[in-house]
Amino acid sequence: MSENLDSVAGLPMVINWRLIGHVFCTWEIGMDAVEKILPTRLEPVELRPGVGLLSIGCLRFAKGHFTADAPEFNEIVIVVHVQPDLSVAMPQPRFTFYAHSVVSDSVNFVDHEAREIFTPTEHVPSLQLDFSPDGLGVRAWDEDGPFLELRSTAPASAFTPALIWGQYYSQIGRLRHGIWNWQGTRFEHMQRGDPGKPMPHPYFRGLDVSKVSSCYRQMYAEPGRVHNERFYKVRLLD
Amino acid sequence: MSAERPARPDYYDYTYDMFIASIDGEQSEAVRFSEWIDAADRDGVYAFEAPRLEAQKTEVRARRADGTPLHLLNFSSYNYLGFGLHPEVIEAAKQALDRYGLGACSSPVQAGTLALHKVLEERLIDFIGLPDRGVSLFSSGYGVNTGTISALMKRRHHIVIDKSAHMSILEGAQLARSKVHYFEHNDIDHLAEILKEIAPEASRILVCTEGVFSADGDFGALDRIVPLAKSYGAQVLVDEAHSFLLCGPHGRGAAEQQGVLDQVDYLVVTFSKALGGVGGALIARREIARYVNWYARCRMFSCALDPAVTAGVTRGLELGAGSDGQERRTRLQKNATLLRDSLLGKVEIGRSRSWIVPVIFGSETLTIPLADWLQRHGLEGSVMSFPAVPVNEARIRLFVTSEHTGEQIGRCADIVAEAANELGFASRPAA
Repeated sequence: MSENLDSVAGLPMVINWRLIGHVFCTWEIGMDAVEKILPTRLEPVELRPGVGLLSIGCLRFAKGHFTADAPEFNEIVIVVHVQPDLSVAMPQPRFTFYAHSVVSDSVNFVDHEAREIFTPTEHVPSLQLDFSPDGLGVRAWDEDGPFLELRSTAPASAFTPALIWGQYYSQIGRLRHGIWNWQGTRFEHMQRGDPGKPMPHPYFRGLDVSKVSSCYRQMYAEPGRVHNERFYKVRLLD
Repeated sequence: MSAERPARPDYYDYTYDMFIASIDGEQSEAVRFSEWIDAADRDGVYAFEAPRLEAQKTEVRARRADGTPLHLLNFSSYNYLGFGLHPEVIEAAKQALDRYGLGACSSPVQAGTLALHKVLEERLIDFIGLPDRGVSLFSSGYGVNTGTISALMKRRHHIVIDKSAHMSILEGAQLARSKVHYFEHNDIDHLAEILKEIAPEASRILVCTEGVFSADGDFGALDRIVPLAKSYGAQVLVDEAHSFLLCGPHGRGAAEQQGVLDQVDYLVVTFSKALGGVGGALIARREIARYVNWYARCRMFSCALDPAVTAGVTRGLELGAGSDGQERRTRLQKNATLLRDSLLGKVEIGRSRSWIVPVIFGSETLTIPLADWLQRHGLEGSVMSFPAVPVNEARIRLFVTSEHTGEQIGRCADIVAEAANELGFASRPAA
């Protein structure tokens, strides 16, 4: 079975990012903190009564985006989990996010996000990501100090291929909805333990990170491979 | 551009995700859910909801939606002691049906309380051995938790719940609108941390846990949780749905087994498991039970337990309290040990120490094919997948009963082992 990834739901693909590093971690967070930052139209995922989900992604992009000789660059994305729009004719979205805050050390990336993806992206030239060689950990910091230090809590890892579909919402003035997919080789688990928590930092832009409790789920992309993240043409919701 | 996908249908990847709703105005989640079932059904692999054609015996005839007849080893029923089929239980139910008719036909606080209900209440108090307690009967075990918790706990109170607790406890907390905290499963240190933080300011704290947890088949650490909660002035609710009548020196449950029965403030029991009926009860201080009778909304505004079930459950309880019950409990323990031993080294069974034996097959993508495979090979268990359990920890739960024979348990273990080899989730030998 093959699948055409050039378009979905009649919406053309606008970008196919090539990733060489990706750690994505999800924590439980008090619903009161989530509700404070969400547009009223969106419905947060409530894992258990009073408990929502916050995810942070640390991504490193391969060389050669935008121009043939462009260097690697980094991104951090902070999202909360919300309910999708299932009226869109697309494969079942596995995750749906509200994009609360995005930072990158690439000005080209920031421009692209503002033009095509409409996430609230800030240019932070001092952003640093240090992925562990086994792909199972990452440290993130900038000139304001440390942001995150993560290490997988699983005693063993097994990377497997996946094509994961999802949706996202963002609001810069108006509320928008987009579709993405991620294709690559990753290790996902929900084993107990403390992989590390995000530290208070300006990136959180009013999201009360003190309401983060235990880790819910961890995903690590296999090092030494290129993974793909595709985004499709965004539509206005209001 | 195209990308190769594994040659399997979408429904293998997406067992229905209970989180998913939709923000659109047309209930698209219902359409998707329906399509998910239809697609699996069309391919002949939908193994859920196959109607049984007879009672919940250890082997049972059933039928797929497409008409395929099934003969199943039944490891998916909670009829742990077989009382749901006991001739004396059935006879008591028939007599009640003849005398009282089909239903109670009214709320229990109005005209729905029957003499039969008062007898059941007395038998429960006698059985539990705590004469200062009272009983509040509910027509659903789920309702005992939602009704009791929401009746007793309010906005400014704190409810502290084991993360593996049953949905009815979570929903009770949600209805109460109290401040809810969760402690890691059976983690005493984490519970202490939470209690320490909230004890100074809280006017009322309720700690909720269970006797036996239904996803893993392990016991609640009641001997440590109850005294700890008490030391912080908290009250304790223990849901003994899967342990009442099944363990402890007198069969009173996990709290008795661990020596803390008289310290439990709210003992929740169900009639749909060991007693093979339906409904449940709260056993608590007399004034509390009386208050819950009136203030548990799902009780006050529901019809009382039906006469046949009430009489049958009462007879089952009488049998369970005597030598018959003791013999069945002994057989249950023996059978559970036999099944666990038969599976050890072949498949992963987690931390089960009870009559609930989870076979952890891992990937959610196996859920549909495994349920189908097992049913077609003559075995039915109870499948659980993400998000009910963590990702990559999907499982099929096998419920052992006192009525299974050694041959049936051996056959069950053989089928599971064959499935594990064929579908690739067999335990690997230690290096």
